[in-house]
Amino acid sequence: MKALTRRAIFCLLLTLCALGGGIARAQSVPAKPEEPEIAALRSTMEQATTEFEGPLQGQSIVRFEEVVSKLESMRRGAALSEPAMTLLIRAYEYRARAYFNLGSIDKASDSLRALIVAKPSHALDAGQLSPKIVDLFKEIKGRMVGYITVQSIPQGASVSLAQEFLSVTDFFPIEVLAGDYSVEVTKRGYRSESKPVTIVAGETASLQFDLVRTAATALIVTEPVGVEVFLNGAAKGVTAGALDPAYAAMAAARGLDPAKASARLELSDLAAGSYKLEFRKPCYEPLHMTLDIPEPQDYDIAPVKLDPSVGSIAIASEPSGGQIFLDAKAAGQAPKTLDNVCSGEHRVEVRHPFGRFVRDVQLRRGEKINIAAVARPTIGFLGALATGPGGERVRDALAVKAQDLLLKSVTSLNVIRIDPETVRRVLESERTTLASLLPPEHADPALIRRVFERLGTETEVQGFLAIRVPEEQLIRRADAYVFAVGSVIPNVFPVVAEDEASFRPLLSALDRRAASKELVSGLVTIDTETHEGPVILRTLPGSPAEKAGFSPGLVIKSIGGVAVPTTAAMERAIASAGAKKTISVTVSGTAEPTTVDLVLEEAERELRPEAEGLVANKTMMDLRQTIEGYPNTEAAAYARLQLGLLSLRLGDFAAAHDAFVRSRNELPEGRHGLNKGTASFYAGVALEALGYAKEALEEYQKAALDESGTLGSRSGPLVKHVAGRRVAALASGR
Amino acid sequence: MLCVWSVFACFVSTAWAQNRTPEEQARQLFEDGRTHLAQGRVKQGIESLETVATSFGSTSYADDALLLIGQHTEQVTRDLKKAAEIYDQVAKKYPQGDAAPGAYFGIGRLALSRATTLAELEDAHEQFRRVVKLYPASRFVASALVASATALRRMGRFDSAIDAARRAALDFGSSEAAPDALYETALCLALAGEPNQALEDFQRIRNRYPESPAASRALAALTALYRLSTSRRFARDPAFSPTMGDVLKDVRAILMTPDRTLWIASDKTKSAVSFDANFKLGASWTAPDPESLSLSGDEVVFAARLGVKTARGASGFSVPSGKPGEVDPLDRITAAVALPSGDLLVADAKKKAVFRFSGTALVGTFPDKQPREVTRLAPSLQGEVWMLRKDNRTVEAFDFSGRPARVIPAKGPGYEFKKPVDIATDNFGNLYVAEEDQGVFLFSWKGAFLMQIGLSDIRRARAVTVEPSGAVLVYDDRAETIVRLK
Repeated sequence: MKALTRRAIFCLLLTLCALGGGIARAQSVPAKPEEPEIAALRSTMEQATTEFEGPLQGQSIVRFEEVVSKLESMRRGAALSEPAMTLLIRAYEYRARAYFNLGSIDKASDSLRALIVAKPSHALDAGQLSPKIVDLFKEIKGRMVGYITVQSIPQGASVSLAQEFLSVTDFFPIEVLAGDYSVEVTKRGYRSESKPVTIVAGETASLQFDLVRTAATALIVTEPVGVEVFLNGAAKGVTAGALDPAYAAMAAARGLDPAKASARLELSDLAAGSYKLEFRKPCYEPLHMTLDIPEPQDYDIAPVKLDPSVGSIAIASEPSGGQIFLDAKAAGQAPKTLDNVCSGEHRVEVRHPFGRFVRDVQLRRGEKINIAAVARPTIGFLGALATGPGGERVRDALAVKAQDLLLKSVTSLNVIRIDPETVRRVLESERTTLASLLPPEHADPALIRRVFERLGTETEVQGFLAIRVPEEQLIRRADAYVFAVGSVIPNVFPVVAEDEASFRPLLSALDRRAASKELVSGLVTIDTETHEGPVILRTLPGSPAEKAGFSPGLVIKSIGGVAVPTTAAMERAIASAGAKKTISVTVSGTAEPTTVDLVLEEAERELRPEAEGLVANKTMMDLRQTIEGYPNTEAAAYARLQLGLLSLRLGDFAAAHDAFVRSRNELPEGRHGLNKGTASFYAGVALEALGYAKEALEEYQKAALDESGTLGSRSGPLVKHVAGRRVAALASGR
Repeated sequence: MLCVWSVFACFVSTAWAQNRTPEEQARQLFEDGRTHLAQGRVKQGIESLETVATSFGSTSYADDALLLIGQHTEQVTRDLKKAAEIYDQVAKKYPQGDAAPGAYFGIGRLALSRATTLAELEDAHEQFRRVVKLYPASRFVASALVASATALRRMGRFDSAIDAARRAALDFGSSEAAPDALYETALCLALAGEPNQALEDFQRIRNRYPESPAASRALAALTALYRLSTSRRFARDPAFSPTMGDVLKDVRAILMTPDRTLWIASDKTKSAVSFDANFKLGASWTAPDPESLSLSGDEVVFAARLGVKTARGASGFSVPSGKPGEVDPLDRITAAVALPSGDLLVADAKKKAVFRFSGTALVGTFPDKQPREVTRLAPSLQGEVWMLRKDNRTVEAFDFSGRPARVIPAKGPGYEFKKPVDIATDNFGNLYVAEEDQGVFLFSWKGAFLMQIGLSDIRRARAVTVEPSGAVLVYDDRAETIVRLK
């Protein structure tokens, strides 16, 4: 019977311990709302305690019984939560006090026993309660509870009683129910030990364990703190804290600064053998070392002192004053040298009001990288997509190759990878896919424009590159599509995954930059078979040539002393005048050959992408950057005109018309060369292509009134002549 | 063993073909056909394309194949009638196909090449207009605009022609047609009386498309037009002194072709002999009593007293004698020109008439039955034929349908024809009339007298021709040499 009782008590103890574990676990998670059943019992408990404190104390027992009964029932099914357990202990205690006050000592004693089994360490508040019941409680507890204390060498071993965690050695005596138990002591790196123990009520059982070492422990101190430690490639932790003063002298002796050194990091459970240790911390050179463990013991690793690994990045912007961002964090204004920049990969970004410069750099220790941050357009790489399983096999390799080459080779563009999540979100909201926006699919141009404009706004880029890998069996040819934001017709470049050379046309095209300004002399010349040099046909009004007095019929013999047999040679010589903008022109046709210095002017000309090897969409990106970066300027107005012309060439007449109308409103009036009249004329061309003959006629009529506008370049045909004929043609319905 | 491999290959090939869709098979055949044609394997090429057109008629390549056959038939085989039928088939059978604009363009081009009347020119123009209006995104639009400009120019509607050509040059600046578009623009401007704008556009061809065939033509045009419009001066070229032996004796006619081949018809050698730009001897045609040379398109027409010789062959001509069942051979032929339709106009001094022949079959007298003693014929740029009449010493122009266009009377302000011996036209339609003792009189394409040239350099003119660059070559009968006035 005694054994049975003890077994029952033991089971109860186990249950409670499990309950305690459950409680401990519950503490580590966020508080949950109390279960309705417990809340109801708590309410019952409140009513019961009110009754207990009132005149009808005896009636409260019914409610305490109800609470106890329900909680014990619940406890048999599963461990109680901490609040439920506390409620049960309180219910036991009140029930015992109620019975005690009614003179039912036996029932009071039963309730107290149940309480002690549930919580052997429980004590009644002697200051608040009747000394009699406190004495009764002590008497009962004295008969049920003993004490246990465990010491170990070394300390810090985990002690379990009947397989339940009790404490960590060495600890003061802990109250436990009397009975027979098995005590287990465990510590990492040591052999686990166990001993039987009998707890006798009122007595203290004291146990001593001398633990036997089975594995080694490595103790690591680093300077600085925060070093990540890898053992045979596996992360083992990060050093932290401050060094125990007890080890300061040792650390100092080993070359560490104790004030900067970390607390000791233990790598335990190390079997005998050889290990590779690696220490890493951003901004520091990584350190490698070998750890040999011949026998199980503690090892103080040789001092781990990491050397800083930093370099510097000198950034100049054109023009100066650009805001520098290093890895998306503001870092001042250019020109500026960023010192002590951690080695590794960084994204340097310089933002001007008129554009930005982005470059990913790999900084090595002690290196100084100079960056001339000229604002340039940004192209976003959308990755590669495959049209079938055959394409999917090479898709990823192709995307990696393309991105690598773009980053390595393209200098006139910022190249960034577009976050796939952003792309997915925009495409989903437009209910489309990237594949359906690319040729040969015939997506609605308005949809293409909208998607790329949204993506462009969200990612701050002026254009995109996407690669489509077709479903081909033999040749791994793919198509790379370059889209400027706002354009609906891409430029397409075939590329082959395995053939790096196949990317060259794409890469060189992306790096080509259009120059829409040309140096102008004002000489309009022709070639003939009978003149040894260009013959002056006329001079442009107000031009350097006119001011210099060149007259029709004179023959240009040389420029800068170099013979120019043809107009093309003359134009080349003028174009090569460079920043000086001054040329000396020798002419014949007068009594003596005459040489005159001409100071050239700059003038806008129409871009001719195909003739100049330009990619229309790349050029559009450059132009968009000018438009966005220099709003309300003449440069932006001309960029818009050029943008319209490129759209016109691509057959995107709606975009062309929009650009021409806007540039018409911004371009200068009355200037000889490309001007308002030019934009009006081309707006008419776009309208005519869109089928709006009446509106086109109106634009042509406006253009025909412009006296000084030209087409093509400053020396091109006068808009009024060309537009006048177009007016006549449209009016006659031809 | 070879047999086994052949069977295997055949099996694989068949299996492969069976796995492909008709569209894929048609594409492959179309590409094969195109490659064969490009590499000169005409028979295989046409066979492949015909297979696409007949066996894969419902694929998207059928119309392209037919169009390609049509273009080959027109440009290589030169069977214009059959080509027109093929184009017509494409246009009717596949009006929505991407070859339709090409077919309409082909129909228009054929119509333009044959057009002799205003109505025929309008028809051709309408085909080009259809391409531009109905297929604005087609690759044929630029060429159609240029051809449209040519048709309009020939109709004399220069402003519209300039507009169409300019549009092609501006809107399709990177197309293959762009240099020709600019050339047509400049030519029309010149004809419309705006030589300076024309000069600038000719020069733009050289600046923008220096490698194009049009660039060298533009240089010649620049030289000619600048001389005519600005310097207005012709001077003897002292460096030009051809030594050709007997060929330069008793010369009856000289002719410079666009590729600068110089033909000389000499009674001494009884032949017409050609020389390249370096005076290297080329082709020669023999004929007793050579009379004249003319250029119709690219075709040299050599008229001798008893017949006419072209690259297509030589033939004599007969006309009804007035007695039933009897014909009179023409035995005093003085001049001949070919019309775009292929018909020949042949002038006979004895009959005092110009006859129109289709092959050797008489079509009728040209332009009417009025007697004319025509000694020289020269086609003009604008689709007209100039006639030099000995009987009244006038030069008359008629369009190819026989409608009178203009007349240059024997006498006018600044000139008087006394013994006009030869006529020639240049690339701007200007007319050059060689006078035996007065050098050369130059008239605009409208017939207005412009200037007299070479009076002091030529002792007795007998024949005249004009280089592409506008330099005038005159055979001096007395000096027995050719004088170059540049």
